[in-house]
Formats: sequence, C-alpha cells, structure tokens
Amino acid sequence: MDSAARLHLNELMARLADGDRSVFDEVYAGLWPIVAAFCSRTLSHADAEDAAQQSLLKVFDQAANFERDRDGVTWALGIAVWEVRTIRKRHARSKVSDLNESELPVVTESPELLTAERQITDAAIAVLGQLSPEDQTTLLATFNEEAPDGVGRATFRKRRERALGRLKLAWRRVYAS
Amino acid sequence: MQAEPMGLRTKLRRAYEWGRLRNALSLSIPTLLLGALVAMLVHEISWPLSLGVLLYFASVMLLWFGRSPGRSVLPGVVYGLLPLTGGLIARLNGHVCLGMSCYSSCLLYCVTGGVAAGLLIARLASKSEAPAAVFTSAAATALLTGAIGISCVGVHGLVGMAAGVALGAVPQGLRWVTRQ
Repeated sequence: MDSAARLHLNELMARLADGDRSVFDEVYAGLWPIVAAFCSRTLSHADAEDAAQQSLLKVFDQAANFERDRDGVTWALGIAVWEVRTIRKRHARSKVSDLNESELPVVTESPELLTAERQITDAAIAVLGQLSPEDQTTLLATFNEEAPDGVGRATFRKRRERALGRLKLAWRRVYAS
Repeated sequence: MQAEPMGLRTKLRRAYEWGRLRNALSLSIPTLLLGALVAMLVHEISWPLSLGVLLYFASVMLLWFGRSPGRSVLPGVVYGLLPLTGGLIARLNGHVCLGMSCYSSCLLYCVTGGVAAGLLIARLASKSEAPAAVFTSAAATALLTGAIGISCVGVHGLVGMAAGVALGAVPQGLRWVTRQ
C-alpha cells in the first residue's frame, strides 16, 4: 500500500469515527485485504480467516474512538496482532495445532518408490534390532538429540561412534550383496 | 484469502453501530451526574433528575449519530451551564429589594443566561460547515442543560431562557441570511 492510499484510508477512518456512515464500505474494502493478508501469513488458513474477521469486528467496534493523528493501518494491524496472539495462545493451551496447508503430506512419488523406501526403513529398523540394548539406547538418544542420564559427554560420544560402527557393520553383513 | 466471507459486512456494520452507542452511553454519563448534583443543591429530586435523564438520552442519540450534531453536544452542555447557573442563583436569591420595593430577579437571570448561551451557540454555528445542524443540536442540549437549573424556578423561567437563546441567535442568524 503506497503512502497516498494509506493517507486516504486514514482520512476515511477519521470520517467514520466522526459518524460519516457513507465511507463504511470504502474503509471495509481498504482494511479487509490488509488484515486478511497479515493473518494468512501468520496462521493456518482456517484460523487466519477467523482471526481476520475477529480483528475487523474489533476495529469497527472501536472505530468511534479512532484518533485522526493515528495511522489507521497500523492501528488495525495492532488489533490483528493481538487477535493472532490470542489464537496462538488458545492453541498452545489446548495443545491442538491445526495443520497448515503446506504441512499436509504431498504425494508426488510413485507407489513403487514409496514401497521401496518403506522396505529400506523396515530393514534399517530390523538391523537396529540386531544391536545390543546399550547400542540401541545410544542411537535413539542420538536421534532424539539428548544424552542418557548419568553418562558423560565424552563417554556418550565414544559410545555413539562405536554404536554407529556396529550399525554399519550389521547393515553391510545383511544387505551388502 | 482475499474473498469476502458471507455476511461479514453486516456483522461489521452492527459492531460499528454498537461501538458508537456504547461510546455515547459512557460519554453522556456526566449529564446524569449534573442532574443529580442540581437535585442535591436545590433539595428537589423530580424535575432536575427527570431533565437530567432527558438530557442524557438526547446526548446519547446525538453522540451516536455523530458528525456536526454529535460534535455540538459538549459545547451545548457547556453553554447551557450559563442559564443553569442563573436559575440556581435565582432559586437561592430570588428577589432584589430596592428600598421598600422588592422585584423578582428570576426572569432576569434566566433570560440573561439564555441570551449568553444563544450568542455563544450562534457564534459556534456560524463557524461550522453545517450551521443549522450545529445550532439545533447545541441549542437543544443547552436548553435541556439550562432547564435542569431553571425548572425549580418555574415554567416562566424556562420560557425566558428559551426566548433568550432565540434572541441570542438573532444577530448571527441575520448575518447568515444576508450572506446567503
């Protein structure tokens, strides 16, 4: 949005605050794309639409208190930021996170390739099962990026190297051919 | 996500009107306090409180509507304090005695307060873009504010104040007519 359009929107918002209902549609048309775009950048699709609607409801609810010397877009986005934050907090509390559209699994590979990948994963798990419980614990701790309790850093590093070495050996022994 | 959700515009319009009404309801509370204060001062509840409530609703309506009538509420109430004070003085010291004869000063205070308020309102209206709307709104709120103080003096006090407001507006009205 260029500065001229922003100033024009400010002027319209000041008129709306004064009670000029004729500019309602223009203010709505100016604010909706801005608030909607902001919310869609920060939240998933369903939440973004909800947040944008709630933000605009608050903006228009408080429109009578809008001060002429304030920047209308910044004011509206400030309300949207709070709304986004509220939705995020709500999700964090209920530990429910919506899947983003970009996070949905995209199936682009052929079923044959997927089966081959699955077989390799199964084989790796089978080879891991051949290792001693201590090696398994070390490798799982490495995968989870954590050190087992009561084991020093240097000891853990040596155990990890030895466990990886044994894993490679076991893999070669079973699948080298 | 640029598409407009169904019914959002209607919801926003409703939110806007409710927001304005809530704002008007809270901003008009001092008018109720004014009525209560006068009622306490003159030890009479019915008229000052009734007129205070009437002024409150008038103020709410005008502030909710906004634009020039909404902007005229505060000056109207402030200018209305002049006849209100006049009415209170008349109530507390209702007559002037010169020698053996005493005269009722009530009408004098009411008309003087009304003329002063009328002059100020007319001046305000002449400076605005919508003089008729500003004058009507400010005069209505000033009359109601003044009536809170004058009501205890009697109907002739109210008539005197209204005549005073009208009289005060005459010079500006004539100037406006000649300019047109």
